[in-house]
Amino acid sequence: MTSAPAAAADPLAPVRAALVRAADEEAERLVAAARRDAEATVAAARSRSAALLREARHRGQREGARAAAAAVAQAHRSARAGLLKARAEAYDELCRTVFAQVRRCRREAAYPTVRDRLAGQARRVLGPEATVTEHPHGGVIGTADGRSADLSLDAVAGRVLERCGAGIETLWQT
Amino acid sequence: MSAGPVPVGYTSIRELRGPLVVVAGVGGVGWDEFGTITLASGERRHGVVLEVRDDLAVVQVLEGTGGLDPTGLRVTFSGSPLTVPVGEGWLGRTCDGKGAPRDGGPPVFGPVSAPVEGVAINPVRRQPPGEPVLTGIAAVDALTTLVRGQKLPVFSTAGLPHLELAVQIAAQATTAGERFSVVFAGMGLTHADAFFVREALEERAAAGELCLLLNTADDPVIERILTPRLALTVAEHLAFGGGRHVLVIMTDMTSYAEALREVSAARGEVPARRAYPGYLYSDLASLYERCGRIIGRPGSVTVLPVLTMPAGDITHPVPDLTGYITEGQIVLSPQIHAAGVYPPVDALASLSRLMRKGAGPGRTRPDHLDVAAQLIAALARARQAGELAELAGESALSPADRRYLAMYPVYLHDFLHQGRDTKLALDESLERAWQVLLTLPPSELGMLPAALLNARTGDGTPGAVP
Repeated sequence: MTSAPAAAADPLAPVRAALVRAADEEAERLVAAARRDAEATVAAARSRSAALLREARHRGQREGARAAAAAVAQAHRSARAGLLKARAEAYDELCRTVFAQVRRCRREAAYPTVRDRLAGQARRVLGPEATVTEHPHGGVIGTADGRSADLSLDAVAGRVLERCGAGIETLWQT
Repeated sequence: MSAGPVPVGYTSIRELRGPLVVVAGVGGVGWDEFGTITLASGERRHGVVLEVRDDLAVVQVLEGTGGLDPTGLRVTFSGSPLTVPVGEGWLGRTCDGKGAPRDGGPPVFGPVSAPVEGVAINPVRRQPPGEPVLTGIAAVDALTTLVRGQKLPVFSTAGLPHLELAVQIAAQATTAGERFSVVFAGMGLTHADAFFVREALEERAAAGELCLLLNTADDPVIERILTPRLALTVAEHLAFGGGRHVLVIMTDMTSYAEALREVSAARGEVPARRAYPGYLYSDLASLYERCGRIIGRPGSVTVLPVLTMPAGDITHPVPDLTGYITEGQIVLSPQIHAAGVYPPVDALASLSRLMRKGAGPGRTRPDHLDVAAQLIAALARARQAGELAELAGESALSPADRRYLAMYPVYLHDFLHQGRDTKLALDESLERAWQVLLTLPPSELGMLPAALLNARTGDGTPGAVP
């Protein structure tokens, strides 16, 4: 009787070793591939984030420029509106002053002469039968047969102001 | 300073009817005479004489007759149609259709006054239009160039962006390096449209280059009739008195014609075509013929009226009669608008009859007229190819026709389409035209001089123009 060969210790050992080696190599490949993927992903993410950052910066600049332009335009508009309002106020003040000064002439000694001249003018326009009455604020109103002539001091001053034309602009021109 | 002649006021008010006041006992009053209606409270309104018969005068009150008590009224006639002060005071101002401020400022002043009615330029003193007005719109500048002194209407239909286009042109137009102003007359605008116009043009107005006259839809119709006349009066004095090139944009002239129809009906006139007055043609001519250039005087008045064709009907009296008077037209197309293209200019239906006087060598760019002619020809061929493809199918087209068919979308999107706030320099517009043309084989570009074409297709040098 012969005995079994001693210690063909593990006949599967070479196979196992080969499998382990193959598994190690596969793992290394997978790890390397995973690392490459990760690096590519990180690189792509970096590139994408840089692009997003660039785009955001450009968009911000554009929006900023637009907002600045809108703000400047709004400031121009406000300034222009303020200027026009100030001119309108100056014009209104001129009218108020002119009317007040003209009404004041009622207190002057020459006013009866002025009133008589205005009454004469009313009769020239409307005819000798015209009724002439004194206006409460000075001057006269002539009426005759459905017609009237407004020669109140206010009306005369208003007509003079209307004929001043561009001269009024000297109020706000230096 | 004298107060002038004493105006006679008339106090016999026969009737108040709608916007009309019938005044009795008048003498020496004429049609279109301007009047002032003074209320017992001292409030003043304004009016225009529509009709005079015997000693009766019918006055249309511009501000309406609401709250008027006939017993306390006094109507004074000025002895002439409306006059306005003229001069540079109008620049930077926003006013209503009769010239009253809408911008919170004082009344507009001027060194002299002029009748708003105005007169057409004497034909023997006319200088033919010449040199371009650049609008910053590729379709207009490159293909239907607007010329100084020309009258070039925009034909549109409801729903198209004609107001946006008019406003964009008002905001952008220039005459390279020369003194330039814009007078924008809006007629029958809704309040929303008036707000839009004011917002969009306020910057140019603030720069002192633009005058804005806004007549809204709820304003009296008689004021709508005054609005374009006022705009032209202001423009004439800025141009021929101030040496400026002035562009007058009038929108919407159909709304103006409807106002004319209402006033004509109120006067009891015999209606003509579609109830418009028989003198619609001569009335429109009396406006449009006020533009032009005058021999021996600097400046020019160019008119760009915008009109909407009711139901898109180009034979409607307003576009029809306008077309007889004006020198070409810019037509907007609903189909191009539906394709999302702005401005939807139909280049094949549009024409500037005076383009040759304002474009080309010595005026714009030497290649301008050739490029425009070639692009129009290519568009015509593209339209033919499109119609053929609809009948026979695209596969039945010749290779050349297919190239034209493929060119059309490039034309729409790369040439015609531009932003509503994008101003294109003429060079940019012409380069866009070149890019469209170069999608076609050189053999199809026979209207371009060989040297010009070789410069583009040979060494590819852009802008290489002999």
